Amino acid sequence: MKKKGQFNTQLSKNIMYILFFLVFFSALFYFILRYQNGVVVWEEFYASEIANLINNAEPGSEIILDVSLATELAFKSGIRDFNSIFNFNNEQNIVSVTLGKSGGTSYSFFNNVEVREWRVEEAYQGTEINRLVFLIGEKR
Amino acid sequence: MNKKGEEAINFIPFLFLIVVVTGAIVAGVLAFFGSGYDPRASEAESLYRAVSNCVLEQGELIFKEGFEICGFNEEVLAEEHLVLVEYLENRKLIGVFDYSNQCYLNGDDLPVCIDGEVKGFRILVGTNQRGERI
Repeated sequence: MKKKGQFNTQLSKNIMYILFFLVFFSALFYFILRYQNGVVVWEEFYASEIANLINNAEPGSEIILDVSLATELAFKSGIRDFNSIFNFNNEQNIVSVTLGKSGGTSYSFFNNVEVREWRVEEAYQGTEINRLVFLIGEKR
Repeated sequence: MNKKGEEAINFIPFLFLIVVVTGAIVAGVLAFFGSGYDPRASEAESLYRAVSNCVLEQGELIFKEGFEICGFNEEVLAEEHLVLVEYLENRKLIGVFDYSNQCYLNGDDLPVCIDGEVKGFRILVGTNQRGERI
């Protein structure tokens, strides 16, 4: 017959195994969720292509992009504020795109300019097109 | 008798099993979705074009003033990029110098480079930027 002390040791050992298992598989589950609908790949695509546009832009340009697919993916992931999908860090020259509820992808642009007044315009002229609009300016 | 060492040894097969199962699932997901979008070639082209324009506009002034006169952010170029400009005895570079060797090797993890010449200036640019998870 097992004594009380032995039972407690066995129980704590099992709990430790279960906790370890849960931690490992929650990380795995998170990884798979991020890839659902190709969100990770589309984040990489939008971040790098927007950075590439900025690299080729001159100060004074206005850039308008059809981001309907990005907003559709973000909506499926539970994002309702489309303006939170795209973010620009002018101090570090970074554009970041988040199509899931957390995480995202960031990409640097080497052109020393500033991105201003960025916004997502929903249902452009009554269509189903959502547009990302931003201005390129001289670095302050 | 149940010693602590014995418990540790019992833990190894459990850990091995978890690592193998996780590895297989991750490999499956990556195989299905691919290794992601690779923007390096288009960035290398943009960078080469920008450096060429700067060489045409500024000429040898680049060697005195640096790449800031080209409108580049040197902090961004210092990591995962290389820009090398040579003219006669002059040479100016920014970024990862080892890319000047890696550019001529084959491999998916190596930088994508463009080596060319504009008005006698040798220009070598390379990038290995793939985007960062946040």
